[in-house]
Amino acid sequence: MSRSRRRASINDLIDGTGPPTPEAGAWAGTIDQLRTSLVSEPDPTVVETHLAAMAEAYRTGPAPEPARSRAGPSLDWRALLRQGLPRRAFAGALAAVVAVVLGTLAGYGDLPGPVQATLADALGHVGISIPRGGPPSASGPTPRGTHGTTTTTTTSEPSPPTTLPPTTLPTTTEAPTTTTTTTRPVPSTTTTTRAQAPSTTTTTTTRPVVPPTTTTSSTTTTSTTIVPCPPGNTMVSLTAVLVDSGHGVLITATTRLPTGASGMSSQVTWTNGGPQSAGTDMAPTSSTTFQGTATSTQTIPLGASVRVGVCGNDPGGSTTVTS
Amino acid sequence: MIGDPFAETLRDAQAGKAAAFETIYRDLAPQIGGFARGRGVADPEDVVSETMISLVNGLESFTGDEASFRSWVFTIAFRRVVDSQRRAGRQVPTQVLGPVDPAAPAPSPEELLLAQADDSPVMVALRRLKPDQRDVLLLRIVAGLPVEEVSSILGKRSSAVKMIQQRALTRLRAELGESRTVSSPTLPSDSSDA
Repeated sequence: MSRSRRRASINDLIDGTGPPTPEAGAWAGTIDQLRTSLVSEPDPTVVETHLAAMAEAYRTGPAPEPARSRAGPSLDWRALLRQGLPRRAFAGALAAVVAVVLGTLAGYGDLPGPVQATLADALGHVGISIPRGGPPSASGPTPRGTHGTTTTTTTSEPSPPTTLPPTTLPTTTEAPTTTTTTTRPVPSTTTTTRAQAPSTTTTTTTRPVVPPTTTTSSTTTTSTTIVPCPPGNTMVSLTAVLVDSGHGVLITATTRLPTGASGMSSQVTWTNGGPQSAGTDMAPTSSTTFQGTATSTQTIPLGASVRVGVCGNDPGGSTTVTS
Repeated sequence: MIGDPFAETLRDAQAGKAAAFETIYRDLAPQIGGFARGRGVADPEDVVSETMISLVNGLESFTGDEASFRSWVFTIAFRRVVDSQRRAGRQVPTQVLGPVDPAAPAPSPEELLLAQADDSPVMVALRRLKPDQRDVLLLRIVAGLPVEEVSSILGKRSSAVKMIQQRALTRLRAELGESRTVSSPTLPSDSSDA
């Protein structure tokens, strides 16, 4: 008998469908011996116990079984989600979320003034520098980019098209007595009509919205990280005048915020070629105008560069400090 | 096999009727116990109990005929056996002590092992088979599952199951033939001709 036929014959024999043959009889003896030696009726008391356990299992429903694995116990997340997380785990997760949120707010200087100042003082002792805070934003939370970013005196940035209202905007050209000018090319798709600026000793700069991923600068001294902002922000005018015996700079900025971009505020930083000061919120004096003062422990020199950003630094404007 | 009344029995069991539970238990428990015994589980009754409780817990969602029901139940039993043997592997074996005779010598570890092992000819022969040969024979002959169901439980092709089954049965027959002439117990071995 060939191997395949023998295999089929044994298979039929086990299934009880094979024809009675002499060889099959020999195999049948082995099969019967295996079956009869292992299969036996359970003890009646055991049957009774098991049936009672089955009835009890039906009444109580499936009980959660401890998870077993070679790697040790594991969590049944589906059961946990069904039952809700344990209170301790929930409290821990909540505390972690609150800590992260507070830490982020403190890092951006968005905590209430006294709290922010106290925290800044406390952390300053251990070498951690966070903003001391400034005038609170009148219109709620302040989305912005990074603080302490680079001051760019001249930049050349690719920008998406921005359309500004034709009549309501002040100048985008330099005033006659401007000491420094920052001019950024407007893309060809931009259709902008701007009115003449008032004749002052200020520099006015416009910069269309720059997507964060395409921010480049030909003369940037350090890298700038900018978080995404809604498009449509435009810096319309910017002045910076020394005040407070040269320790402060009064900055007035006019911006055009995009529709529905409430909750933003401008932020001012300044530098004199070195690291940029920490950002300070500017108080809105109207829906499009912000005013604020950057203060310094040292005398701010004439010609220092001041930068103002809406929604962080995008769009921003920079100008030099005048007397 | 329950046969024709299976559908009604299943309905009654899903409704929680004790008589249906008993019918299913009496039909399957001996084979589940035999399967566990053949796999060398120390307490086959535990496996029967755990399998039956799992069966009751999953009964509500079961649909199918008797063949698929038996296949499902033995899939549970197979897992319970594996669980049981893993548990046993992590536990230190203990032995109930009888009256102590200070004069008698303490049994050696080999003697304790032999005392605990079921040294019936069939068990000795089964222990000499390869694990997959033993599983195929137990599921095919003791549990009475068709080749397709066995291949599904063990994750092998049907042709492989048939081949393993033929080699296993040949080996078992040879072992049982030897055991009739050799009376001394044999220690487990995994050597095989497969």
